[in-house]
Amino acid sequence: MDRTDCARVAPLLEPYADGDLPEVLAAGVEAHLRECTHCARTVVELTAVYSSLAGWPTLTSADHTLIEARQEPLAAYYRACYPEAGGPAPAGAPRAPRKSPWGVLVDRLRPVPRFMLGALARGGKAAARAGWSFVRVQRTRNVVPAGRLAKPHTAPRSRSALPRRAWSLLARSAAIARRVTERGALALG
Amino acid sequence: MSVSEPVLPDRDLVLLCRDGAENAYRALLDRHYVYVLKLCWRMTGVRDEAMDLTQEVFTRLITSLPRLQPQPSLRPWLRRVALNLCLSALSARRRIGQAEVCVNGQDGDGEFGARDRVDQVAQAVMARERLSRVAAAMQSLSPVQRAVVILKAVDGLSHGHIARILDLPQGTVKSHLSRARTRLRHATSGGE
Repeated sequence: MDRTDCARVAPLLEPYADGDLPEVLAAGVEAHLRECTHCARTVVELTAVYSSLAGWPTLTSADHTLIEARQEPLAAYYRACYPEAGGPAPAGAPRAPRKSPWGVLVDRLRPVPRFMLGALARGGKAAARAGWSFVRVQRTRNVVPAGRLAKPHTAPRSRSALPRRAWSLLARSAAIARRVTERGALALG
Repeated sequence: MSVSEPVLPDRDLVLLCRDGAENAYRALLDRHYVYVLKLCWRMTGVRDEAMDLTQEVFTRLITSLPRLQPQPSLRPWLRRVALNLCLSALSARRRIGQAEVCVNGQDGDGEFGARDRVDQVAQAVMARERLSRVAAAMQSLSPVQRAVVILKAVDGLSHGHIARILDLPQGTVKSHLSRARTRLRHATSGGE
């Protein structure tokens, strides 16, 4: 084998072992390798380097046990960061809907006995039927489609517009609440 | 995970993780933990240090979840974080002056010694010797050379891809690879 051939092919051996050479050059190198044992051995060694490295390190069963044990603290850390699908409010995540004032009121009234709540609810329903609202509503002007007769804007309802039935129910529930509080205070001394 | 269950891509698992699905996070651990561990082990040469670095990588995954761009595969992100951590750890080690080399790839536990005694097959011993030589030779490389060789040999990345990951010119990657490979070749062929 001509030494000049080896010198010419030597720089191509590494890319050849990686499979990075174009087909024409690779065919030339292969032709040389068939004749030159020295270069063929170099290619085998070059390939062996990578295959050895890919096979190292080998994990034993003890390593796998350790890996499983190591994953538990990570899962615990994840749970701490994301309690019950919440966590540190990632960007873009949908937020929990805000509670309405009515929901807040219901939460506040939860400790109140159920029969009182019933009376309050009946009073509230009657009030709602009469159009009376517990929450101040910002009124907007009526937008009337062109060509249709506009219904005159109803005047804002005052407290006196609440029907008598609703008032009596609310008053009764308030009286019961007062009595319960007094009795509680007496019982507690 | 059973075979019948659908295999979700990493992108979906990351999105599920953001919603607090612990199973999705565990699935990511199952999928990538060993890869990251082996990468860190190859880089540092020490199992325990590699374990600690792997924990750090997956802790960073949790803290980075809200900012993480969901990609089809999480592996490039994990690889980059793991390599950066390993390079920092190796430079810190060099600063401190530690020069421990774990030649046989293990940390010298008695259990592994016993295992070696049991291993009587000549071929297996030769393969093991070769691996230990590779491990020792890897430790003689510079951290960047080590990273380049691992990315090329194990992950099969192109020179350009490696250059982008390590933020190096492509020519530098090639020269690092060539030098490292020559050294490793001498090591694996028995130092002749």
